[in-house]
Amino acid sequence: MILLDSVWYRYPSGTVALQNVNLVINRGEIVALMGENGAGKTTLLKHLNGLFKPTSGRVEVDGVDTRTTTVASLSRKVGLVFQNPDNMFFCTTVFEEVSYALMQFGFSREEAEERAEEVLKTFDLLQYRNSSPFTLSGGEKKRLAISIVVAWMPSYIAIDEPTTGLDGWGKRRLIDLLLNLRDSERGIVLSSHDVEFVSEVATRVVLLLRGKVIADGPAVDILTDPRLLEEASLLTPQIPTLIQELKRKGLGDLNHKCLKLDEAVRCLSEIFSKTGSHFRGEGG
Amino acid sequence: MSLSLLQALKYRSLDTPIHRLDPRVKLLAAMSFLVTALLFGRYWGGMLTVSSSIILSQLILLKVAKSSRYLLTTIRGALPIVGLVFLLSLLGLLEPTAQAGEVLYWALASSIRFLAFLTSFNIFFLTTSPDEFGQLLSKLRIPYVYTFTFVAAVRLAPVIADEAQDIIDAQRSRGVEFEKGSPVKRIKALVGVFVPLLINSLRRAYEMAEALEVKCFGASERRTTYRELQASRKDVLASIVVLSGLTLMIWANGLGAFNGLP
Repeated sequence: MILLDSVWYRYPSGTVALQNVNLVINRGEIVALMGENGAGKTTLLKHLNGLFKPTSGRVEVDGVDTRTTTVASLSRKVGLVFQNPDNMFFCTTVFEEVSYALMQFGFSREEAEERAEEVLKTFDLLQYRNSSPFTLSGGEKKRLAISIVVAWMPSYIAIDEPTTGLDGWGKRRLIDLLLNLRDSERGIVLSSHDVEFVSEVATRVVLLLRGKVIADGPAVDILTDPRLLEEASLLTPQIPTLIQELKRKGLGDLNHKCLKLDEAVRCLSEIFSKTGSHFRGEGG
Repeated sequence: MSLSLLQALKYRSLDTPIHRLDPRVKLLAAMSFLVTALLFGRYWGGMLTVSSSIILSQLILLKVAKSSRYLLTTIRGALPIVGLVFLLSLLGLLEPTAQAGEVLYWALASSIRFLAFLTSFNIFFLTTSPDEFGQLLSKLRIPYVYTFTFVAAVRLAPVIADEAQDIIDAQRSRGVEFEKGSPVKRIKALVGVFVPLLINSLRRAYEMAEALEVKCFGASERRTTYRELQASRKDVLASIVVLSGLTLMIWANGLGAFNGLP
């Protein structure tokens, strides 16, 4: 469990980036930190592996206070993927890039090679094992950055803006990977503006506004609340918008919330089953 | 020489009478400090007087510019190299006719002179923005392509510093420890910072070159400028003060005021 207890953070320039943040992040959940630029999402992520220490309050990772240990030892438990994957690469080949951190953490050469091979296969990057990481496409670089972290199997994975530079298929693939990681009992924290992506993947959403948590709850509750989303300068995802629009026009009286595609199909089937004849009548 | 020496030369945007001065006046003052520190004072007494006066004048001016603490940062950062100058000057003790006291005073005066030389441009760099610097270079008839290159480099320095910090954070998150281990291990760890920084900088340079081409950089030989330096009465007055001070020093030096022992 990662615990943030009354966390405040002030940059040396004097800017207060986090104000009294209280959060608990458990394994097996995908928590999305959302909010406008400068809301404090990246600052919060950097607290999880001790890169930033709170100005006041405390952050604990599985009971260990981040102020009492090194970033290297915390990173063993909390893997952080940076927004710009280029900042993480410096090795000659993709394979060396993945095995580098494994060697840092003291894995044997054989085990590091085995894990690197396995993770490259999982992330569909094995064909690039001898290529330079800098020659990969944007989506491949993002996958490589995540695979570097997944290779040492941390209990928690924090990903800063995972969808930046990804095309539609890249996002789809990333969603599947994240859901697999969640199923393997890892806690995942991601920061994103991408409401559609978050709708598909997150189990929980935390809304930040100027360093404060303004909402924290199940994704289906937060992402179907236009008022809250507007406060955090976010747009409502398309599926809840469609359902709300249908409701506003009197087409269907739905009390349950829809966020994902399968839920939307269920909602729409319900509406059509009630008003199908009406639609057909109008159409004819 | 530590990085704090360079950090102390970084422009800070403040609204003070010194910041508002025309950069040409500040350049004139800095050049005067430099020339005075290098040329005047033949013996240790004169050297000590001249160099101390320069540092004191800088301190007063920087106090007005609300930046005096950066002069102290420069002095602190320069201490190792100033110490080296002191030690090298002590080599004079090896001469058979050398008097220990005399050599010691000479070494001290040389160190202070070196410090005055190092800090002579502090007032200029701390209070002149990259844009003003560019306008100054244009006034000095330096071709725009060189002026632009220099100003762009100065402007990008903080961006690259931030990026270096991001890369360091990314590497620390992969288990790299920059503060631990043997010097060889630490230097090896820095390779992980240098490579991505270089690649990102090259990429940025290409992108900037393309952006400049898109904005028709160099389309005409005689470009117009949005802002030009205009000297006010205050600037003229400040120039007169600086030139008077320099003339006074030259006159005093001519009279041999800085030649003897104190």
